[in-house]
Amino acid sequence: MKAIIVQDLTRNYNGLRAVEGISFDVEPGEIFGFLGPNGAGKTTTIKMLTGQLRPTSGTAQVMGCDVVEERQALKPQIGVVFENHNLYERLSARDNLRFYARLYRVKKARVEEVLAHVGLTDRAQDKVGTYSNGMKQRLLIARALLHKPKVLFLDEPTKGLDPNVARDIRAIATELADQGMTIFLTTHYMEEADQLSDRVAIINQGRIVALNTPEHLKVEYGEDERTTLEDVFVHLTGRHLGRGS
Amino acid sequence: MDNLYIAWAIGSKDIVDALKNKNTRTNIIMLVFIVVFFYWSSTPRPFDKKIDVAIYDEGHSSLTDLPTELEDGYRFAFHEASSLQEMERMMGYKQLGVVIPPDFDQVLEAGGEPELAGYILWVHRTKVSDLELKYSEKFSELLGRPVRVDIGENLVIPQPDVETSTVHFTILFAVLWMAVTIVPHLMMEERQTRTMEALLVSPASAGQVVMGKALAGAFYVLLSGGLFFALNWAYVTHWGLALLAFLCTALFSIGIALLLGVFVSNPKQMTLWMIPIVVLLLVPAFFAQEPNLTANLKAIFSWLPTTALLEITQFSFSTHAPLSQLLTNLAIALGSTVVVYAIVIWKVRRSDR
Repeated sequence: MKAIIVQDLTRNYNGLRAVEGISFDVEPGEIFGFLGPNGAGKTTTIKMLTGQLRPTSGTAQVMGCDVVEERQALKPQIGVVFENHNLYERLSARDNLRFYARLYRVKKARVEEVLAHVGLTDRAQDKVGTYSNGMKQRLLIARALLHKPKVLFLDEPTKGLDPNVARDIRAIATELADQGMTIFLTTHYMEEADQLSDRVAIINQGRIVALNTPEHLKVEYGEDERTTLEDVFVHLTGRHLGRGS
Repeated sequence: MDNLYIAWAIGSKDIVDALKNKNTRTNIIMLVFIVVFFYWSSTPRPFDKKIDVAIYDEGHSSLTDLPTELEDGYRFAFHEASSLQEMERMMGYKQLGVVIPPDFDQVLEAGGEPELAGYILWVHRTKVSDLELKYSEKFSELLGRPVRVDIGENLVIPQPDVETSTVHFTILFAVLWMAVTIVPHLMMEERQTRTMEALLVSPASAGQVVMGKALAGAFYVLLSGGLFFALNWAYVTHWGLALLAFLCTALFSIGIALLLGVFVSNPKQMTLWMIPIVVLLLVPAFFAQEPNLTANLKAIFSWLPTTALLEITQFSFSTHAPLSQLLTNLAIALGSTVVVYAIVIWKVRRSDR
Protein backbone atom coordinates (compact mmCIF):
# COMPACT_ATOMS: atom_id res chain seq x y z
CA MET A 1 0.00 0.00 0.00
CA LYS A 2 1.24 3.46 -0.89
CA ALA A 3 1.56 5.90 2.01
CA ILE A 4 0.14 8.83 0.02
CA ILE A 5 -1.78 8.75 -3.27
CA VAL A 6 -2.75 12.07 -4.84
CA GLN A 7 -4.79 12.17 -8.04
CA ASP A 8 -5.61 15.29 -9.97
CA LEU A 9 -5.91 17.37 -6.79
CA THR A 10 -7.15 20.93 -7.31
CA ARG A 11 -7.96 23.73 -4.94
CA ASN A 12 -9.45 27.09 -5.89
CA TYR A 13 -9.61 30.19 -3.69
CA ASN A 14 -12.19 32.70 -4.88
CA GLY A 15 -11.75 31.63 -8.50
CA LEU A 16 -7.93 31.51 -8.29
CA ARG A 17 -6.24 28.13 -8.65
CA ALA A 18 -3.82 27.59 -5.76
CA VAL A 19 -3.25 23.96 -6.69
CA GLU A 20 -4.04 22.68 -10.15
CA GLY A 21 -4.50 18.98 -10.88
CA ILE A 22 -1.45 17.62 -9.10
CA SER A 23 -0.84 13.86 -8.95
CA PHE A 24 1.86 11.86 -7.18
CA ASP A 25 2.32 9.06 -4.73
CA VAL A 26 4.68 8.43 -1.84
CA GLU A 27 6.03 5.05 -0.74
CA PRO A 28 6.01 3.97 2.91
CA GLY A 29 9.24 4.94 4.66
CA GLU A 30 10.13 7.41 1.92
CA ILE A 31 11.26 10.98 2.56
CA PHE A 32 9.39 12.96 -0.05
CA GLY A 33 10.58 16.51 -0.64
CA PHE A 34 7.90 18.93 -1.80
CA LEU A 35 9.59 22.08 -3.05
CA GLY A 36 8.34 25.29 -4.51
CA PRO A 37 8.63 29.06 -4.28
CA ASN A 38 6.39 31.05 -1.94
CA GLY A 39 2.76 30.87 -3.01
CA ALA A 40 3.36 27.86 -5.26
CA GLY A 41 0.76 25.75 -3.43
CA LYS A 42 2.88 23.79 -0.92
CA THR A 43 0.93 24.79 2.19
CA THR A 44 -2.41 24.37 0.41
CA THR A 45 -1.37 20.85 -0.59
CA ILE A 46 -0.32 19.99 2.97
CA LYS A 47 -3.58 21.39 4.29
CA MET A 48 -5.53 19.19 1.89
CA LEU A 49 -3.47 16.09 2.67
CA THR A 50 -3.92 16.60 6.42
CA GLY A 51 -7.67 17.13 6.15
CA GLN A 52 -7.65 20.81 7.09
CA LEU A 53 -8.88 21.97 3.70
CA ARG A 54 -11.36 20.43 1.32
CA PRO A 55 -10.06 19.96 -2.26
CA THR A 56 -12.11 21.61 -4.99
CA SER A 57 -11.67 18.45 -7.06
CA GLY A 58 -9.51 15.37 -7.25
CA THR A 59 -8.77 12.81 -4.58
CA ALA A 60 -6.07 12.10 -2.04
CA GLN A 61 -5.50 9.17 0.26
CA VAL A 62 -3.08 9.00 3.15
CA MET A 63 -2.47 5.50 4.54
CA GLY A 64 -5.56 4.38 2.68
CA CYS A 65 -7.81 7.06 4.20
CA ASP A 66 -9.61 9.47 1.91
CA VAL A 67 -8.71 12.97 3.16
CA VAL A 68 -12.29 14.21 2.76
CA GLU A 69 -14.48 11.21 3.50
CA GLU A 70 -12.34 9.56 6.19
CA ARG A 71 -10.91 12.54 7.98
CA GLN A 72 -11.35 11.14 11.47
CA ALA A 73 -9.67 7.84 10.51
CA LEU A 74 -6.87 9.82 8.88
CA LYS A 75 -5.99 11.86 11.97
CA PRO A 76 -4.27 9.13 14.04
CA GLN A 77 -2.21 8.15 10.98
CA ILE A 78 -0.57 11.55 10.53
CA GLY A 79 1.62 13.91 12.49
CA VAL A 80 2.21 17.48 11.41
CA VAL A 81 5.11 19.77 12.28
CA PHE A 82 3.82 23.18 11.31
CA GLU A 83 5.92 25.97 9.90
CA ASN A 84 4.85 28.33 12.69
CA HIS A 85 5.42 27.52 16.33
CA ASN A 86 1.80 26.89 17.17
CA LEU A 87 2.17 25.93 20.81
CA TYR A 88 0.44 27.05 24.01
CA GLU A 89 3.07 29.48 25.24
CA ARG A 90 1.60 29.96 28.71
CA LEU A 91 1.71 26.22 29.36
CA SER A 92 4.82 24.14 29.99
CA ALA A 93 6.14 21.76 27.34
CA ARG A 94 4.92 18.84 29.42
CA ASP A 95 1.41 20.33 29.74
CA ASN A 96 1.32 21.02 26.00
CA LEU A 97 2.11 17.39 25.30
CA ARG A 98 -0.19 16.06 28.02
CA PHE A 99 -3.05 17.98 26.47
CA TYR A 100 -2.45 16.39 23.07
CA ALA A 101 -1.89 13.02 24.74
CA ARG A 102 -5.45 13.28 26.06
CA LEU A 103 -6.78 14.11 22.60
CA TYR A 104 -4.94 11.15 21.07
CA ARG A 105 -5.68 8.98 24.12
CA VAL A 106 -2.01 8.29 24.60
CA LYS A 107 -0.56 7.30 27.99
CA LYS A 108 1.33 9.92 30.01
CA ALA A 109 4.47 7.78 29.87
CA ARG A 110 4.62 8.42 26.12
CA VAL A 111 4.89 12.16 26.85
CA GLU A 112 8.11 11.51 28.75
CA GLU A 113 9.37 9.28 25.94
CA VAL A 114 8.96 11.92 23.24
CA LEU A 115 10.38 14.62 25.51
CA ALA A 116 13.47 12.48 25.97
CA HIS A 117 13.57 11.72 22.24
CA VAL A 118 13.84 15.40 21.35
CA GLY A 119 16.07 16.24 24.32
CA LEU A 120 13.65 18.44 26.25
CA THR A 121 13.24 16.48 29.48
CA ASP A 122 15.30 18.94 31.53
CA ARG A 123 13.20 21.92 30.44
CA ALA A 124 9.84 20.14 30.30
CA GLN A 125 8.41 22.10 33.25
CA ASP A 126 9.30 25.48 31.77
CA LYS A 127 6.72 27.62 30.01
CA VAL A 128 7.00 27.31 26.25
CA GLY A 129 7.05 31.10 26.03
CA THR A 130 10.55 31.01 27.50
CA TYR A 131 11.86 28.57 24.86
CA SER A 132 14.24 29.37 22.00
CA ASN A 133 13.08 28.72 18.43
CA GLY A 134 15.12 25.53 18.31
CA MET A 135 13.49 24.19 21.47
CA LYS A 136 10.05 25.08 20.15
CA GLN A 137 10.82 23.20 16.96
CA ARG A 138 11.86 20.15 18.96
CA LEU A 139 8.65 20.38 20.94
CA LEU A 140 6.62 20.57 17.72
CA ILE A 141 8.30 17.38 16.57
CA ALA A 142 7.63 15.74 19.93
CA ARG A 143 3.96 16.69 19.62
CA ALA A 144 3.74 15.29 16.11
CA LEU A 145 5.34 12.01 17.22
CA LEU A 146 3.24 11.58 20.36
CA HIS A 147 0.78 9.12 18.82
CA LYS A 148 3.34 7.30 16.62
CA PRO A 149 1.96 8.42 13.27
CA LYS A 150 2.66 6.52 10.05
CA VAL A 151 3.14 9.70 8.01
CA LEU A 152 4.90 12.81 9.26
CA PHE A 153 4.39 16.15 7.51
CA LEU A 154 7.32 18.50 8.09
CA ASP A 155 6.56 22.02 6.90
CA GLU A 156 9.80 24.03 6.72
CA PRO A 157 11.19 22.24 9.81
CA THR A 158 14.56 24.02 9.88
CA LYS A 159 13.48 27.50 8.85
CA GLY A 160 15.23 30.16 10.94
CA LEU A 161 17.13 27.67 13.08
CA ASP A 162 20.83 27.81 13.82
CA PRO A 163 22.93 25.22 11.93
CA ASN A 164 23.44 22.92 14.91
CA VAL A 165 19.74 22.70 15.73
CA ALA A 166 18.89 22.30 12.04
CA ARG A 167 21.34 19.40 11.84
CA ASP A 168 19.71 17.77 14.89
CA ILE A 169 16.27 18.13 13.31
CA ARG A 170 17.50 16.56 10.07
CA ALA A 171 19.03 13.73 12.07
CA ILE A 172 15.69 13.09 13.77
CA ALA A 173 13.94 13.05 10.37
CA THR A 174 16.44 10.56 8.96
CA GLU A 175 16.16 8.37 12.04
CA LEU A 176 12.35 8.33 11.78
CA ALA A 177 12.46 7.42 8.10
CA ASP A 178 14.90 4.63 8.91
CA GLN A 179 12.34 3.32 11.37
CA GLY A 180 9.78 3.15 8.54
CA MET A 181 7.94 6.44 8.97
CA THR A 182 6.93 8.22 5.76
CA ILE A 183 8.03 11.84 5.72
CA PHE A 184 6.49 14.56 3.58
CA LEU A 185 8.94 17.44 3.72
CA THR A 186 8.63 20.99 2.47
CA THR A 187 11.69 23.19 2.66
CA HIS A 188 13.26 26.23 1.08
CA TYR A 189 16.71 24.82 1.68
CA MET A 190 17.73 22.90 -1.44
CA GLU A 191 20.77 21.34 0.20
CA GLU A 192 18.54 19.98 2.90
CA ALA A 193 16.07 18.60 0.38
CA ASP A 194 18.92 17.07 -1.61
CA GLN A 195 20.47 15.51 1.46
CA LEU A 196 17.26 14.12 2.99
CA SER A 197 14.82 13.34 0.20
CA ASP A 198 14.50 10.05 -1.60
CA ARG A 199 12.41 11.83 -4.21
CA VAL A 200 11.54 15.46 -4.82
CA ALA A 201 8.51 17.12 -6.40
CA ILE A 202 8.85 20.73 -7.52
CA ILE A 203 5.62 22.69 -7.60
CA ASN A 204 5.27 26.03 -9.34
CA GLN A 205 2.10 28.08 -9.74
CA GLY A 206 0.01 25.20 -8.48
CA ARG A 207 1.40 22.56 -10.88
CA ILE A 208 4.05 19.92 -10.35
CA VAL A 209 6.76 20.73 -12.84
CA ALA A 210 9.19 17.94 -11.94
CA LEU A 211 9.15 14.78 -9.83
CA ASN A 212 12.07 12.39 -9.43
CA THR A 213 15.04 11.59 -7.25
CA PRO A 214 17.38 14.55 -6.71
CA GLU A 215 20.07 12.74 -8.72
CA HIS A 216 17.77 12.17 -11.70
CA LEU A 217 16.58 15.78 -11.63
CA LYS A 218 20.15 17.06 -11.63
CA VAL A 219 20.97 14.86 -14.61
CA GLU A 220 17.75 15.69 -16.44
CA TYR A 221 17.92 19.47 -16.01
CA GLY A 222 21.60 20.10 -15.29
CA GLU A 223 24.40 21.05 -17.61
CA ASP A 224 27.18 19.13 -15.89
CA GLU A 225 28.03 17.09 -12.78
CA ARG A 226 28.35 20.30 -10.69
CA THR A 227 24.61 21.03 -11.08
CA THR A 228 22.88 21.34 -7.73
CA LEU A 229 19.24 20.86 -6.83
CA GLU A 230 19.01 24.63 -6.42
CA ASP A 231 20.10 25.06 -10.05
CA VAL A 232 17.32 22.69 -11.07
CA PHE A 233 14.84 24.57 -8.93
CA VAL A 234 15.84 27.92 -10.40
CA HIS A 235 15.71 26.47 -13.90
CA LEU A 236 12.18 25.14 -13.36
CA THR A 237 10.66 27.97 -11.38
CA GLY A 238 12.73 30.91 -12.52
CA ARG A 239 13.29 31.98 -8.90
CA HIS A 240 16.28 32.03 -6.57
CA LEU A 241 16.21 30.80 -3.02
CA GLY A 242 18.45 31.47 -0.03
CA ARG A 243 21.10 28.81 0.47
CA GLY A 244 20.32 26.52 3.39
CA SER A 245 22.26 25.96 6.54
CA MET B 1 -19.32 10.18 24.77
CA ASP B 2 -16.22 10.60 22.60
CA ASN B 3 -17.41 14.11 21.72
CA LEU B 4 -17.72 14.98 25.37
CA TYR B 5 -14.34 13.47 26.27
CA ILE B 6 -12.48 15.51 23.65
CA ALA B 7 -14.52 18.65 24.35
CA TRP B 8 -13.74 18.30 28.05
CA ALA B 9 -10.02 17.79 27.31
CA ILE B 10 -10.07 21.08 25.36
CA GLY B 11 -12.31 22.80 27.91
CA SER B 12 -10.19 21.84 30.91
CA LYS B 13 -7.04 23.00 29.12
CA ASP B 14 -8.75 26.31 28.42
CA ILE B 15 -9.97 26.73 32.00
CA VAL B 16 -6.37 26.51 33.21
CA ASP B 17 -4.91 28.45 30.30
CA ALA B 18 -7.47 31.26 30.68
CA LEU B 19 -6.44 31.77 34.30
CA LYS B 20 -2.85 32.27 33.18
CA ASN B 21 -4.02 35.06 30.87
CA LYS B 22 -3.79 38.55 32.38
CA ASN B 23 -6.81 39.82 30.40
CA THR B 24 -9.02 37.01 31.67
CA ARG B 25 -7.91 37.57 35.24
CA THR B 26 -8.67 41.29 34.89
CA ASN B 27 -12.14 40.50 33.53
CA ILE B 28 -12.86 38.10 36.38
CA ILE B 29 -11.75 40.62 39.02
CA MET B 30 -13.82 43.34 37.33
CA LEU B 31 -16.86 41.11 37.28
CA VAL B 32 -16.52 40.14 40.94
CA PHE B 33 -16.28 43.84 41.76
CA ILE B 34 -19.44 44.64 39.74
CA VAL B 35 -21.50 41.79 41.26
CA VAL B 36 -20.43 42.78 44.77
CA PHE B 37 -21.12 46.44 44.01
CA PHE B 38 -24.66 45.74 42.77
CA TYR B 39 -25.29 43.61 45.86
CA TRP B 40 -23.97 46.30 48.15
CA SER B 41 -25.88 49.11 46.42
CA SER B 42 -29.20 47.27 46.74
CA THR B 43 -28.84 46.53 50.46
CA PRO B 44 -29.58 49.03 53.28
CA ARG B 45 -26.22 50.31 54.41
CA PRO B 46 -25.43 51.29 58.00
CA PHE B 47 -24.25 54.76 56.98
CA ASP B 48 -27.28 55.43 54.74
CA LYS B 49 -29.03 58.35 56.43
CA LYS B 50 -32.11 58.44 54.20
CA ILE B 51 -35.06 56.26 55.18
CA ASP B 52 -37.49 55.78 52.27
CA VAL B 53 -40.91 54.90 53.64
CA ALA B 54 -44.06 53.95 51.73
CA ILE B 55 -46.99 55.03 53.87
CA TYR B 56 -50.63 54.06 53.92
CA ASP B 57 -52.22 56.59 56.21
CA GLU B 58 -55.79 55.37 56.84
CA GLY B 59 -56.79 58.29 59.07
CA HIS B 60 -54.86 61.08 57.32
CA SER B 61 -52.75 61.67 60.41
CA SER B 62 -50.37 64.53 61.05
CA LEU B 63 -47.29 62.29 60.85
CA THR B 64 -46.33 63.17 57.30
CA ASP B 65 -46.65 66.89 58.05
CA LEU B 66 -43.84 66.76 60.60
CA PRO B 67 -40.30 67.91 59.74
CA THR B 68 -38.50 64.85 58.42
CA GLU B 69 -34.95 65.75 59.50
CA LEU B 70 -33.63 64.12 62.68
CA GLU B 71 -30.93 65.50 64.92
CA ASP B 72 -28.52 62.65 64.18
CA GLY B 73 -28.63 63.43 60.45
CA TYR B 74 -31.21 60.80 59.49
CA ARG B 75 -33.94 61.93 57.13
CA PHE B 76 -37.32 60.39 56.37
CA ALA B 77 -38.73 60.44 52.85
CA PHE B 78 -42.44 59.59 52.91
CA HIS B 79 -44.25 58.27 49.82
CA GLU B 80 -47.99 58.09 50.36
CA ALA B 81 -50.06 55.22 48.97
CA SER B 82 -53.86 55.22 48.64
CA SER B 83 -54.26 51.60 49.69
CA LEU B 84 -52.41 48.79 51.38
CA GLN B 85 -52.00 47.06 47.98
CA GLU B 86 -50.45 50.16 46.46
CA MET B 87 -48.14 50.50 49.41
CA GLU B 88 -46.99 46.89 48.96
CA ARG B 89 -46.35 47.52 45.27
CA MET B 90 -44.30 50.62 46.16
CA MET B 91 -42.20 48.46 48.47
CA GLY B 92 -40.16 47.34 45.46
CA TYR B 93 -38.07 50.44 45.86
CA LYS B 94 -38.57 51.37 49.50
CA GLN B 95 -36.84 50.18 52.62
CA LEU B 96 -39.97 50.24 54.74
CA GLY B 97 -43.76 50.29 54.43
CA VAL B 98 -45.83 51.67 57.28
CA VAL B 99 -49.57 51.50 57.92
CA ILE B 100 -50.66 54.32 60.20
CA PRO B 101 -53.76 53.40 62.21
CA PRO B 102 -56.87 55.69 61.90
CA ASP B 103 -56.63 56.68 65.60
CA PHE B 104 -52.94 57.56 65.42
CA ASP B 105 -53.39 61.28 66.24
CA GLN B 106 -55.86 60.55 69.06
CA VAL B 107 -53.48 58.10 70.71
CA LEU B 108 -50.71 60.69 70.46
CA GLU B 109 -52.91 63.40 71.99
CA ALA B 110 -53.94 61.06 74.78
CA GLY B 111 -50.25 60.56 75.60
CA GLY B 112 -50.32 56.89 74.57
CA GLU B 113 -47.65 54.88 72.72
CA PRO B 114 -48.86 54.43 69.15
CA GLU B 115 -48.02 51.25 67.28
CA LEU B 116 -47.23 51.30 63.55
CA ALA B 117 -47.52 48.20 61.38
CA GLY B 118 -44.21 47.98 59.50
CA TYR B 119 -43.65 46.10 56.24
CA ILE B 120 -40.32 45.11 54.72
CA LEU B 121 -39.28 43.23 51.61
CA TRP B 122 -38.94 39.55 52.42
CA VAL B 123 -35.34 39.83 51.27
CA HIS B 124 -34.58 41.28 54.68
CA ARG B 125 -36.48 38.55 56.56
CA THR B 126 -33.46 37.56 58.64
CA LYS B 127 -33.10 41.10 59.98
CA VAL B 128 -36.68 41.70 61.24
CA SER B 129 -35.87 42.34 64.91
CA ASP B 130 -32.92 44.63 64.08
CA LEU B 131 -35.05 46.63 61.66
CA GLU B 132 -37.97 46.85 64.16
CA LEU B 133 -35.58 48.26 66.72
CA LYS B 134 -33.96 50.70 64.28
CA TYR B 135 -37.22 52.05 62.82
CA SER B 136 -38.93 52.25 66.26
CA GLU B 137 -36.02 54.35 67.45
CA LYS B 138 -36.11 56.67 64.42
CA PHE B 139 -39.90 57.17 64.52
CA SER B 140 -39.64 57.84 68.27
CA GLU B 141 -37.02 60.51 67.56
CA LEU B 142 -39.26 62.02 64.88
CA LEU B 143 -42.32 62.19 67.13
CA GLY B 144 -40.49 63.02 70.34
CA ARG B 145 -42.10 60.14 72.25
CA PRO B 146 -41.96 56.35 72.21
CA VAL B 147 -43.43 54.71 69.09
CA ARG B 148 -43.29 51.03 68.24
CA VAL B 149 -42.87 49.76 64.70
CA ASP B 150 -44.09 46.17 64.62
CA ILE B 151 -42.98 44.24 61.53
CA GLY B 152 -43.67 40.69 62.72
CA GLU B 153 -44.71 38.60 59.74
CA ASN B 154 -45.32 41.56 57.43
CA LEU B 155 -42.92 40.43 54.72
CA VAL B 156 -43.73 41.71 51.26
CA ILE B 157 -42.85 39.54 48.29
CA PRO B 158 -42.80 41.70 45.16
CA GLN B 159 -45.42 41.20 42.47
CA PRO B 160 -44.03 39.86 39.17
CA ASP B 161 -44.54 43.21 37.44
CA VAL B 162 -42.83 45.23 40.15
CA GLU B 163 -39.16 45.81 39.75
CA THR B 164 -37.55 45.33 43.17
CA SER B 165 -34.11 46.65 42.41
CA THR B 166 -31.35 46.17 39.87
CA VAL B 167 -30.40 42.87 41.47
CA HIS B 168 -32.02 40.65 38.85
CA PHE B 169 -30.19 42.62 36.16
CA THR B 170 -26.86 41.74 37.79
CA ILE B 171 -27.13 38.06 36.93
CA LEU B 172 -27.86 38.80 33.25
CA PHE B 173 -24.96 41.23 33.10
CA ALA B 174 -22.57 38.93 34.98
CA VAL B 175 -23.30 35.88 32.86
CA LEU B 176 -23.30 37.68 29.51
CA TRP B 177 -20.17 39.64 30.34
CA MET B 178 -18.28 36.60 31.60
CA ALA B 179 -19.21 34.59 28.51
CA VAL B 180 -18.41 37.23 25.90
CA THR B 181 -15.11 38.25 27.45
CA ILE B 182 -13.78 34.71 27.83
CA VAL B 183 -15.13 32.42 25.08
CA PRO B 184 -14.40 34.55 21.95
CA HIS B 185 -10.98 35.34 23.34
CA LEU B 186 -10.21 31.63 23.72
CA MET B 187 -11.28 30.96 20.13
CA MET B 188 -9.54 34.00 18.70
CA GLU B 189 -6.31 33.12 20.47
CA GLU B 190 -6.34 29.59 19.00
CA ARG B 191 -6.61 31.15 15.55
CA GLN B 192 -4.07 33.89 16.13
CA THR B 193 -1.41 31.55 17.51
CA ARG B 194 -2.45 29.00 14.87
CA THR B 195 -2.85 26.32 17.53
CA MET B 196 -6.26 25.81 15.93
CA GLU B 197 -4.49 24.14 12.99
CA ALA B 198 -2.78 21.71 15.34
CA LEU B 199 -6.10 21.01 17.05
CA LEU B 200 -7.85 20.33 13.77
CA VAL B 201 -5.28 17.75 12.64
CA SER B 202 -5.60 16.05 16.04
CA PRO B 203 -8.62 13.80 16.71
CA ALA B 204 -10.59 16.93 17.71
CA SER B 205 -13.13 18.15 15.16
CA ALA B 206 -14.10 21.79 14.68
CA GLY B 207 -17.36 21.06 16.49
CA GLN B 208 -15.54 19.55 19.46
CA VAL B 209 -13.21 22.55 19.64
CA VAL B 210 -16.26 24.83 19.82
CA MET B 211 -17.82 22.55 22.45
CA GLY B 212 -14.60 22.72 24.44
CA LYS B 213 -14.63 26.51 24.38
CA ALA B 214 -18.28 26.49 25.41
CA LEU B 215 -17.44 24.22 28.36
CA ALA B 216 -14.62 26.53 29.47
CA GLY B 217 -17.05 29.46 29.16
CA ALA B 218 -19.69 27.49 31.09
CA PHE B 219 -17.21 26.94 33.92
CA TYR B 220 -16.62 30.68 34.36
CA VAL B 221 -20.30 31.46 33.86
CA LEU B 222 -21.12 28.96 36.63
CA LEU B 223 -18.62 30.71 38.90
CA SER B 224 -20.24 34.08 38.25
CA GLY B 225 -23.71 32.55 38.81
CA GLY B 226 -22.45 30.95 42.02
CA LEU B 227 -21.13 34.28 43.27
CA PHE B 228 -24.41 36.00 42.38
CA PHE B 229 -26.60 33.47 44.19
CA ALA B 230 -24.26 33.31 47.18
CA LEU B 231 -24.76 37.06 47.67
CA ASN B 232 -28.38 37.41 46.58
CA TRP B 233 -30.00 34.16 47.72
CA ALA B 234 -32.40 36.11 49.94
CA TYR B 235 -34.22 37.56 46.89
CA VAL B 236 -35.16 34.16 45.47
CA THR B 237 -38.74 33.04 46.02
CA HIS B 238 -38.79 30.20 43.47
CA TRP B 239 -35.46 28.38 43.27
CA GLY B 240 -36.58 26.12 40.42
CA LEU B 241 -37.44 29.14 38.30
CA ALA B 242 -34.26 30.95 39.36
CA LEU B 243 -32.12 28.02 38.21
CA LEU B 244 -34.11 27.73 34.97
CA ALA B 245 -33.59 31.44 34.34
CA PHE B 246 -29.88 31.09 35.07
CA LEU B 247 -29.57 28.05 32.79
CA CYS B 248 -31.36 29.83 29.92
CA THR B 249 -29.24 32.97 30.46
CA ALA B 250 -26.05 30.89 30.50
CA LEU B 251 -27.01 28.99 27.32
CA PHE B 252 -27.92 32.17 25.47
CA SER B 253 -24.83 34.07 26.63
CA ILE B 254 -22.45 31.25 25.72
CA GLY B 255 -24.18 31.06 22.33
CA ILE B 256 -23.60 34.78 21.73
CA ALA B 257 -19.99 34.36 22.87
CA LEU B 258 -19.46 31.44 20.46
CA LEU B 259 -21.03 33.47 17.67
CA LEU B 260 -18.51 36.25 18.32
CA GLY B 261 -15.75 33.65 18.56
CA VAL B 262 -16.46 32.03 15.19
CA PHE B 263 -16.82 35.31 13.29
CA VAL B 264 -14.18 37.50 14.93
CA SER B 265 -10.54 36.88 14.08
CA ASN B 266 -8.56 39.62 15.85
CA PRO B 267 -8.76 41.75 19.02
CA LYS B 268 -9.74 44.90 17.09
CA GLN B 269 -12.74 43.17 15.53
CA MET B 270 -13.63 41.72 18.91
CA THR B 271 -13.74 45.15 20.56
CA LEU B 272 -15.61 46.54 17.58
CA TRP B 273 -18.35 43.91 17.81
CA MET B 274 -18.42 42.96 21.47
CA ILE B 275 -19.31 46.33 22.96
CA PRO B 276 -22.21 47.14 20.57
CA ILE B 277 -23.62 43.63 20.95
CA VAL B 278 -23.48 43.75 24.74
CA VAL B 279 -24.97 47.26 24.80
CA LEU B 280 -27.75 46.30 22.35
CA LEU B 281 -28.62 43.25 24.41
CA LEU B 282 -28.39 44.80 27.87
CA VAL B 283 -29.51 48.42 27.67
CA PRO B 284 -33.00 47.84 26.20
CA ALA B 285 -33.52 44.95 28.65
CA PHE B 286 -32.57 47.25 31.52
CA PHE B 287 -35.03 49.93 30.47
CA ALA B 288 -37.83 47.63 29.29
CA GLN B 289 -39.76 48.07 32.55
CA GLU B 290 -39.21 51.78 32.78
CA PRO B 291 -42.71 53.25 33.42
CA ASN B 292 -42.06 56.29 31.20
CA LEU B 293 -41.14 54.18 28.18
CA THR B 294 -43.42 54.58 25.15
CA ALA B 295 -45.69 51.64 24.32
CA ASN B 296 -43.96 51.09 20.97
CA LEU B 297 -40.51 50.85 22.48
CA LYS B 298 -41.85 48.63 25.24
CA ALA B 299 -43.31 46.28 22.63
CA ILE B 300 -40.06 46.19 20.66
CA PHE B 301 -37.91 45.62 23.75
CA SER B 302 -40.18 42.81 24.93
CA TRP B 303 -39.08 40.72 21.92
CA LEU B 304 -35.45 40.86 22.92
CA PRO B 305 -34.17 37.60 24.40
CA THR B 306 -32.38 39.48 27.17
CA THR B 307 -35.62 41.22 28.20
CA ALA B 308 -37.32 37.82 28.27
CA LEU B 309 -34.50 36.34 30.35
CA LEU B 310 -34.58 39.28 32.72
CA GLU B 311 -38.33 38.84 33.25
CA ILE B 312 -37.97 35.12 33.95
CA THR B 313 -35.31 35.96 36.56
CA GLN B 314 -37.62 38.59 38.00
CA PHE B 315 -40.45 36.05 38.27
CA SER B 316 -38.17 33.88 40.38
CA PHE B 317 -37.90 36.83 42.80
CA SER B 318 -41.67 37.43 42.87
CA THR B 319 -44.87 36.12 44.46
CA HIS B 320 -45.74 34.10 41.39
CA ALA B 321 -44.93 33.68 37.71
CA PRO B 322 -47.81 34.50 35.33
CA LEU B 323 -47.87 31.32 33.21
CA SER B 324 -48.61 32.84 29.81
CA GLN B 325 -45.95 35.51 30.27
CA LEU B 326 -43.46 32.92 31.52
CA LEU B 327 -44.08 30.66 28.52
CA THR B 328 -43.83 33.56 26.07
CA ASN B 329 -40.54 34.64 27.63
CA LEU B 330 -39.21 31.09 27.60
CA ALA B 331 -40.18 30.73 23.93
CA ILE B 332 -38.40 33.99 23.02
CA ALA B 333 -35.28 33.09 25.02
CA LEU B 334 -34.99 29.49 23.85
CA GLY B 335 -35.97 30.33 20.26
CA SER B 336 -33.22 32.97 20.06
CA THR B 337 -30.75 30.55 21.65
CA VAL B 338 -31.54 27.88 19.03
CA VAL B 339 -31.06 30.42 16.21
CA VAL B 340 -27.72 31.57 17.66
CA TYR B 341 -26.42 27.99 18.00
CA ALA B 342 -27.67 27.12 14.48
CA ILE B 343 -25.57 29.98 13.06
CA VAL B 344 -22.55 28.84 15.08
CA ILE B 345 -22.89 25.24 13.83
CA TRP B 346 -23.35 26.44 10.24
CA LYS B 347 -20.21 28.57 10.46
CA VAL B 348 -18.16 25.79 12.08
CA ARG B 349 -19.21 23.28 9.41
CA ARG B 350 -18.02 25.65 6.72
CA SER B 351 -14.65 26.17 8.39
CA ASP B 352 -12.75 23.70 6.12
CA ARG B 353 -14.18 25.01 2.83
